Amino acid sequence: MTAALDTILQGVLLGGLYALYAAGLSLIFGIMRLVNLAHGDLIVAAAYLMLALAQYAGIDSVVAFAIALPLMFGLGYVLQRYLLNRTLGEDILPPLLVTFGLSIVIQNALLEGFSANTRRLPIGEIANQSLSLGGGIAIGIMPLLSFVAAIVVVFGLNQLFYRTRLGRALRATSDDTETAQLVGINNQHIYAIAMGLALAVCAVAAFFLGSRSTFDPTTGPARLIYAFEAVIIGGLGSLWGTLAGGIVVGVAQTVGARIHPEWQILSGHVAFLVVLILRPRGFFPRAFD
Amino acid sequence: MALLETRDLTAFYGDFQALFGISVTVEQGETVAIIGANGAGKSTFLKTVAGLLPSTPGSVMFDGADISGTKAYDNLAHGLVLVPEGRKLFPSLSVEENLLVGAHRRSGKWTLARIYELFPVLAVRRHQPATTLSGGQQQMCAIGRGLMGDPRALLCDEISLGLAPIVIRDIYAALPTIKAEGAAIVIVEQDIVQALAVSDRVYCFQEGRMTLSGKPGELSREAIHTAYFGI
Repeated sequence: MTAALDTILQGVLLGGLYALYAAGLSLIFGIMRLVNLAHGDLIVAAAYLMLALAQYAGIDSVVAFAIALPLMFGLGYVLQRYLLNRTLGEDILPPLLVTFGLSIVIQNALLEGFSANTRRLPIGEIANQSLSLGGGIAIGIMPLLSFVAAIVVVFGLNQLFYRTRLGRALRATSDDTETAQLVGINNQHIYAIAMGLALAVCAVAAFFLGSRSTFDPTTGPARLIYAFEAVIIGGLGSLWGTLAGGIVVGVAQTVGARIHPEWQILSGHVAFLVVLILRPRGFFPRAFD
Repeated sequence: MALLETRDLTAFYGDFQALFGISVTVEQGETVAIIGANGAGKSTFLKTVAGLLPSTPGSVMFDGADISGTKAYDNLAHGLVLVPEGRKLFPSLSVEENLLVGAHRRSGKWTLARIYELFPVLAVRRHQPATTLSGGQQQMCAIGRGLMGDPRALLCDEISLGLAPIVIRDIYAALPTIKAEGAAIVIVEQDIVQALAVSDRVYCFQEGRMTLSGKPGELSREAIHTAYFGI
């Protein structure tokens, strides 16, 4: 019983990390119907950015994260404004091709710059510390923090969407780009801000990816798959759904790993397929599309 | 100097030419109606003026400046506002949010309170999704959203389309209040009687060309009939 509870709890916490991978993807797809195939690689790139700051500038990883966060926002803005905006249109293929290419470029640039060695963000003692909940169950501080971060990110983004002028403009643009221009919204600028936000969330995801586990230049695509699964399970366009989707994938993986270590990744994918069969539109689909 | 002026305006959809040299002037505070049958190019004209469709240099002047080729969101910043055909409210925004988003770039004389005064039914439904409104209420909301951008020229595309006569009367009843704020109004209408009743001047389009212009009182029924149908 304790073992089962422990497994599920660890899975939920892992799900928080997956939700962080997925939140940016969900945001971008929700606003501009852009499927960013380079999303996972951008997370890994952000992790390397923090690693470089931490190692070569000799600063603490947390400070490196604080520096990387606005840098990633800026990168997202520029990337969308000057590259990805040009690919948006009636045809859905150009953005897929361009982000696929971007994914390859990022992976190879990282390989060139940082070699294929696996790396880890140095965060000191806290990486191995845990909190005992009694009854033989303990949870790691970093997994707990990443879960809390996922909730904060999802809550924060929701507040932004539903309580601010920017959020209103984002939703209006998502609804109808042409009419949004008629109320004075520059859709190119709004899209760029959305990508900036998504990459800022990538920086958060990268901090926990890099400090909880090791990464190398080819880590990105697998994170992208988990992120996709979380988004689809949760229902397109719902950020709380994405968090739920991340938890489903996380729990499925830890349960699978408990049964047999080789089943960890597989059972996550199987859970995704099962949800796809039972609820093709996910748990919390948007009312209209 | 005219507030809004088009000079030999043309518009294309790919190889298809929709407008053939349209020259229209709208003075400050004037209400101008554009009439014409389906496919005459009325909506294309408004969209081109507003900046949703491209135009050649020098063909659209607003307040003395050449705004041809300027994007719609930049034109709005100068007070050129289009209320699009078919209302086009944002479905994921509430009624009030739809109004508020109208003031995203520019605001002024028109506030939420004044819109609710003009269209009291919107105040009652302010927190409902915009999609739950009736057609007439949606049209009121769309006009309100346009007003929130403090228009100096308000372009209204087919605001009576698909609405019951009594609802149309309610909507047109708001025009004098809007006019009183000094905004020039351009309405595109298929309903000739309605158009003649509210406008200071009227232009008639037929197949992308202007076939008639003048003051409503000075145009004969026959002249309008010929200009409208081309027979």
